[in-house]
Amino acid sequence: EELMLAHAYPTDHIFHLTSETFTNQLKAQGSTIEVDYHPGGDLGDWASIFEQSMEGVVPMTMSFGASEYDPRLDLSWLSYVVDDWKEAREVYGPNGKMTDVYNEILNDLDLVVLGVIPTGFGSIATRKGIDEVPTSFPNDAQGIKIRVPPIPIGIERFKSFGFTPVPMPFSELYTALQLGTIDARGTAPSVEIWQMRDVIEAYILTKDYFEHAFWVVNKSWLEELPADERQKLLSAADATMAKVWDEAQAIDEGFLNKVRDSGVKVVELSPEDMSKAKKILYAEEWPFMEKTVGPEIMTMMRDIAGIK
Amino acid sequence: MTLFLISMLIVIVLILIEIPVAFAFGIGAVLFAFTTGNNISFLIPHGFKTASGFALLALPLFIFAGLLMAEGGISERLLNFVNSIVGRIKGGLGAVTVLTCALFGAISGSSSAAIAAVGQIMIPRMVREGYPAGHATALVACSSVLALLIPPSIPMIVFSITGGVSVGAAFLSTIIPGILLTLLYCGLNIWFLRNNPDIQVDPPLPFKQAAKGVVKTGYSAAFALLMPLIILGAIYSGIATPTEAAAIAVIYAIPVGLFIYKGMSLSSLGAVTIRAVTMTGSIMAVLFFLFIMSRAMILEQVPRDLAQALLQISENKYVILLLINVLLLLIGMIVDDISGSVLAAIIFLPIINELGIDPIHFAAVVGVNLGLGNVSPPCAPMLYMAGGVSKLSLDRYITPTLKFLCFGHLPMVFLVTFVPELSLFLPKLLMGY
Amino acid sequence: MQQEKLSAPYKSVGEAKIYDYDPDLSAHPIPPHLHAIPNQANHKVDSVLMRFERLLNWTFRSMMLLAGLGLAVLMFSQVIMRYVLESPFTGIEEASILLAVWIYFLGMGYATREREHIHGGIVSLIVKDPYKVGVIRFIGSITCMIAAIIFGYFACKYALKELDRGRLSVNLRWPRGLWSASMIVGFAMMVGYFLLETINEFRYLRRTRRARQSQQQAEV
Ligand code: NA
Ligand code: NA
Repeated sequence: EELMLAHAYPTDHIFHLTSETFTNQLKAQGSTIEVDYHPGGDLGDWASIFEQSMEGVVPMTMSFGASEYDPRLDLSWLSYVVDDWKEAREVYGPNGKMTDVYNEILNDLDLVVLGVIPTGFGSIATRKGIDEVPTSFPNDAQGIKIRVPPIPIGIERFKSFGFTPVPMPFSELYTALQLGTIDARGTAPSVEIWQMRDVIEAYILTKDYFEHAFWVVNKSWLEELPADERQKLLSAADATMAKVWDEAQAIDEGFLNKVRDSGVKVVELSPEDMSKAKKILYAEEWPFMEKTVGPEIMTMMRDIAGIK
Repeated sequence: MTLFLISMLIVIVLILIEIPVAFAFGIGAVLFAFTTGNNISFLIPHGFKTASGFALLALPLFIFAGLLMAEGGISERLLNFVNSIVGRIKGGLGAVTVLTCALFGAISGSSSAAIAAVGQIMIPRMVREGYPAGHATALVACSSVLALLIPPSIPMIVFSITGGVSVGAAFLSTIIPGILLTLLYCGLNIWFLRNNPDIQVDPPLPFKQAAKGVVKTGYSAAFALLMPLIILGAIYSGIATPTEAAAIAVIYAIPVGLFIYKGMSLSSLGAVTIRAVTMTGSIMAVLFFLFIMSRAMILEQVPRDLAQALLQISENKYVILLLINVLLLLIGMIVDDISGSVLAAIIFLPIINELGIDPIHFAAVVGVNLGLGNVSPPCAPMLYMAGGVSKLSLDRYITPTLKFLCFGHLPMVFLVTFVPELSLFLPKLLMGY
Repeated sequence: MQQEKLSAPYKSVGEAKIYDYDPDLSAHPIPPHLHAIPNQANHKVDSVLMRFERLLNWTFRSMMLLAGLGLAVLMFSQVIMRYVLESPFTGIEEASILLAVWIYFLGMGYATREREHIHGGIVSLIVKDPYKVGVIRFIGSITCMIAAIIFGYFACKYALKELDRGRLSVNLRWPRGLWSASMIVGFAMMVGYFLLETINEFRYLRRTRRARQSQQQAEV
């Protein structure tokens, strides 16, 4: 049996670590499944490979929430659900509440969630040559043009923070930062700052959301596997997830240190600024999200985040 | 591997019997994927998804802008101005073509946009001045890939991010090779034409009279000269992205053509729009099916297997570098430049690191090789596109193209490969790399 | 600004045809290509069909015009909105790509009608007999038509699935079918125009053969 596993990220990304760990674990389980591995996006971008997994063309992938296929997947972008890695593991990690929530959504798309892969807290960065370091929102952010991913919640979030949001595709981002078409970018985990370090002045740790991805396998494909092979695959996946969550925080912090060493100014928010930022988004972004995913899920999310 | 060779042979035969290049790729891809037992159901959707990426959006807009400039009389005046400066040098117009391609590639980051905008203006003009049409076509095709070497360049961004190297350093690494290649093509152009009696060159004028001519044509080209300034200015000041700058160029060229230079009427504006859409369509058809072919090859892991087979030949660092060059060229021949950069980063970068070769040096090697792959047959989209612009069949421009590649691009590939300083000098100087 | 006389004979860009023999650019003539639409009707049925095609063509050209100009205006207004109004249009990427894919596929279809697909080839230089050139081009057209049918089948399958599932775009919440329908229209145009081109070439072959036969009989 051959299993095609593809994702759209480079080999220093946590997806690669996950893939390699999984391949080894599968061998350790004595499975006969051969993994045909395609990293780097040679079969399409992440949303495209996600669709190919839904169709069973590429049975397994690691991908972010492509809300094009189900708007409820926007949930993965929701701000300030968890504060630190410990909480993140409880909520999103193995046996956390969110795996079940996501499984319920993705089952409708003929996908099974093998695990939630953490990539780290997403924050804001300013381009080289920008002197302002916005830390107190919304006052500091006035007039700063910030790139947001072209999704509704991205614009909502940074508008609430006081920025001028500029929706822009990822492919134009680097040049836009270099030439000053925009002043800043949002939703950036440290690995992406490392990739763009040459054009970044400051990395401001707003930690406004916890970026995580889905490790999925096509449900029909999985069900057609012989029972013992399926069992081996699932055990290999569990072992992989445990290891990935053990290492994820260190990888994220590793990139942050590399970013710091490369001369980018890394700025923490003061506790007051942080609670102000949270208050803004709970008041503006969360009701916005409720319109998409419904009150039931949002009540649960409020429960998780500990807000009333 | 047999099936791969048979498919490539079919593609070549289909192209030779005048089947549209796009369909030759498509047929070859489907046959290959089908006979190797791969899932063919997602081939067409993959082509659609890749073609509907934002990165290609600059193409229709730059084609449109180029045609509007030609129709409205903007290009004519720009060229008259340039001609008043270099028109008295034999081969001067060719040199202008190369420089314009380099400049245009620099701003748009896209070879196809450079061919669309520069080719359709410069090729007819060169032919009118007595240049062989094949030579003119080859010159535009070969210099269009300077877009890849002079930043910004989308394939280089993809390579750097996939390979985890600094985008800025990778950009800087291809600048010197790009400038050298620009100069080399200017020189080759003059060299190839040195004995051609058909080239019309005006007799030299006394300086005062020549200066008068420059001022006069410059004055009448004022609005035309503003156009490149607006495009470049908008991009480098950060007012607009290259794609938006292309749209600004279109919006600027319409009133200038209609009301100021009056080269265009409302009805010819309509005809030009339709022409731009058709031209975009014929170019996108090639890219669309090339994406599909890329996918068919990658699904079967052809590039990886090719690499593994060839890399078993030797363990010597320089032999391996040479082999990687050959492989990159082969990859450039069968897949598009974006997929090529992904594959180069995934397949070769680990080997490069093991050999102790600087990844930034390697970025430059990848840049020059993929550029070469874009214009070397059988899968030479940029070459065919230039042929489409000049209305020539392949046999007419293949010889001059091969001459340009053998004396220009190919030596540059070796130079970049074996002289790391060429690519590392600027990153070290400017970024302390 | 004075209106100066331009130095060379001037041909409208809008009317320039690629791949047709052009004495300005090429020294040796090649047998002219047959297009999908014949220059004149031979039968009554032909003229009805040609009138119907003219209506279709008018529709396609209008759509091309709208998409082409629309894309330029849309991208331009994005710059204006960013600087003047400071309020970006969320759906810009989706809307611009919607126009772009229609440009791509209408353009591909129209390029088939006008025989403007990029091609290489050396047939007309190696083969001198116009009848043999005609045979090779006929085989080419039929191959392209069959290929277009196969590609079109997969394109429709995908597009119809998107329509069927009622998928919506992320920002504008418009049906994804609006995007993928461009592929259906484009491939339908390609199949149709390759079919017409094939018929045209078949008729040309039959005419040439008849003419030759009668010429041979006359010689006997
Ligand atoms: Na460039
Ligand atoms: Na090539």
